[in-house]
Amino acid sequence: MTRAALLTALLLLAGAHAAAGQSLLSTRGLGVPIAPVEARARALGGASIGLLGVSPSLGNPAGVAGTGFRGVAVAMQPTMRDVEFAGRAGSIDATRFPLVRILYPASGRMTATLAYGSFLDQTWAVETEGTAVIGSDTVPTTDLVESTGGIAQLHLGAAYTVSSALALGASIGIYTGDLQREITRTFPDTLTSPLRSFQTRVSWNYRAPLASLGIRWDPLPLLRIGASFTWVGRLEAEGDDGDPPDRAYDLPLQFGAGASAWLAPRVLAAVSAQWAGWSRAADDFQPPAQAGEAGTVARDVWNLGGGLEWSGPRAGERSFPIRLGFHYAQLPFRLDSEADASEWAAALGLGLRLAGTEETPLAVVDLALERGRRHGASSDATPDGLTEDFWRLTLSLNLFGR
Amino acid sequence: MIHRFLAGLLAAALVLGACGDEDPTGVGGPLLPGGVVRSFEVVLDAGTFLLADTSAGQFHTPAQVGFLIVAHEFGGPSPPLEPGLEAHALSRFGPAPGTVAFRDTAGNTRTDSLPRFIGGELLLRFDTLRSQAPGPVRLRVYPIVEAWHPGSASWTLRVDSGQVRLAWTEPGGTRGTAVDSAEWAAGRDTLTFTVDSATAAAWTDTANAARGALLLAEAEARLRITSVQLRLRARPSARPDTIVLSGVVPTLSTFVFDPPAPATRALQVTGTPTWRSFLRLRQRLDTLSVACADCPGGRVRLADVVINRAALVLQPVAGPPGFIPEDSLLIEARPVLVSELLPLARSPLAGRAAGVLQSRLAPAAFAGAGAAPVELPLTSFVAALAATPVAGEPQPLNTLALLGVPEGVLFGFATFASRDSVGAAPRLRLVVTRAIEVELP
Repeated sequence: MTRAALLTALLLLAGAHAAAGQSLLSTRGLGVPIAPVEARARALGGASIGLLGVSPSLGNPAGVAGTGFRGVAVAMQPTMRDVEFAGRAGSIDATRFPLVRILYPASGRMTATLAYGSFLDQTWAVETEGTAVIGSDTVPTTDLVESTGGIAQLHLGAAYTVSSALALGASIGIYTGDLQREITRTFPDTLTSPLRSFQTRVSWNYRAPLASLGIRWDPLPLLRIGASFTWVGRLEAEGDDGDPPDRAYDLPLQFGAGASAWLAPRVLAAVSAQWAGWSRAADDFQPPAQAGEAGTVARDVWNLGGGLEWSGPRAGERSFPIRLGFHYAQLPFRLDSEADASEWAAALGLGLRLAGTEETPLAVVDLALERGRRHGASSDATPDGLTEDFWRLTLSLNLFGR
Repeated sequence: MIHRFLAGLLAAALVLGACGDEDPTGVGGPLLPGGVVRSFEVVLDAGTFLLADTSAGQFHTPAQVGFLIVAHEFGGPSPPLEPGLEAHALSRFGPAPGTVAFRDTAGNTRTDSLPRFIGGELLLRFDTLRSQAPGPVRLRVYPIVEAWHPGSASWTLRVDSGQVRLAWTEPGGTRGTAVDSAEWAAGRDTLTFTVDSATAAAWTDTANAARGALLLAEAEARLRITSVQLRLRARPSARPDTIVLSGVVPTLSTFVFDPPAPATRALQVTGTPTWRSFLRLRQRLDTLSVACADCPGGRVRLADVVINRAALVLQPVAGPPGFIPEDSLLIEARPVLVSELLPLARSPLAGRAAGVLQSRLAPAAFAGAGAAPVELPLTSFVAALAATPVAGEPQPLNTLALLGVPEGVLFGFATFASRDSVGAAPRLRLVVTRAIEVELP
């Protein structure tokens, strides 16, 4: 890898955010899970495990086995959402970086990796206009609740090529991140008797250990199967600003499996399924502060996806793969008065090799455009619940050096 | 190489261009049922927040203000002022001018250094809006016939310089034979009194320590005079058939009144002499626990809430009738830099007000019972007292002075119920907000 490419990678690592605002459903529980996958897998319905070809996503530590080049993979994901809830609608834009990964072939059989990826998004903001009865007066209020932060995962791992058909991978790391919650109340219409605004801010720092194992098996030259298992220790949320109480949560065991195969000389199919045992975190949630209030519950969730990749048109030695995919995921958190939340998305993707050959690419850009919907928070009070229709663009860049 | 450069550039551009923040949205309000903050009112009684209060009236004496008061039986009869307020205006004039200007027969202006003064007139201008009388009032001008000191004279003392105290033979100013009289009626802004040549000469004789004019009213009234001018009639020596008027500005004026401004049990603010009231609030308001409907245990410490507004609630009470302010007034609270080396009344005040009444108070508020309480906002001052102290930082100021804005423009003063008043003592009204739920699930 050139010095310039290394510098670029460091810049990207420094600027990576675990989350930058993804869903109002992250008001529930510990937030909304965000998959640390790049654009190719995103376009194939999130099927990153067992995917033929280079797969820098974090789903399977064995996925990068056999990569003979130094490289860096970066993904960026702007999202535009139309939100509707309780008769009100709005639009929200946000951008995040779900994945940064550095690859380094330590030997002919082993590839070392350092990766930083998203895990849980806890960034949201809600503004509410209301009134407060103060003594004999009723004054208008505007409450702004802003939650900024999330949890990301840092992996140090290695993938080992046992044979031409079998690779193993392992990684260790930590879940890390922080969360700031800021509440502001302003009194917009008190000119004659001005009321100073209220603001409070608390923050936490997150830490939890993790370890992941993966296997990649090519039983046939045209077929690849992968599987992974991730163990996570207890997430410690240590109170920081504002001295909030510390909290701790059991994070889920996670299993993933997937496969891909060449259905035709130029058509690839990929599927994957992932399971996360989030229900174990529910025991650590606090009961409602007051009787009659809804508590937070968690459930085990499935994340399913698949897609097709057509090698696409060619221009000289270059090909431009076109991808279609579909993805469905259950969301783990809700209030006990609400129905379960979920999301789906249909994806269209495009690949573009900027430099290098098909066998030894130097720079590859992948795009995935998803149209999807999240739905949740439906209850007796709000039977239609919260709907987020989103356009999500994932753009990833893979740079390699010989 | 170019491709690698372009690739790196694209990556950097992606990073720089992708930094965006979540916009606040009003869509998700119902996602947080029950709200996340509560605002409520707390009213602290005087015993809780007020350690002491007192009033001092040693600022801006009558000789220092820019107006004069003449009163007769004003506000009476009512104890303890029966038969009412009496006030006399005293003016001392400077020397007669050494020269006068006149026109000669050719119409040219000339100056004569040997004029002969043949009398004059005393011109008074009134503040008609701040003068009160039920009917026409005859005002009479007298010469003062005892030596007196304009800076310290009072109703009973003609000199009160601290070391020397000399009483008037006649309280209110020992006077000679009346010089002239004139009738004032509501709306009239000017009165003129004729002054004979002997009186004019006596009033402008700077060797005469008794010189001066005394003005009194003979009917119920409290009149406010904004200026006094002695104008002398002179015949120029070069043209004795001509009379010219030449003004003599009083060097010093004051007014004396009876009874003296009473020190009531109320908090007194502004007036002449000017009153200030001092309130010492409790330090460490943060340690106070106040009622809170939805707090654990039903109470919350002030340290755990944010004070959105704090206001001192003052109850106007009836003041002595003769001393009711002659106009609406504004009151501010200034922090006091209390020093053990100085009495409280002489302690310096902070340069900026901690709070100002939001509207002017009408004199009627002090004319009888039943006036509505007034609020003096003190949010920053009280918030500092309710903040948890930081080690190594000085304690916030906790003493306030209530004073008129500006001072020295009114004769009457405002009166408010003090800490000892049952049921009407000052209160501290707070609007506070606390977070209900900011924690992790």
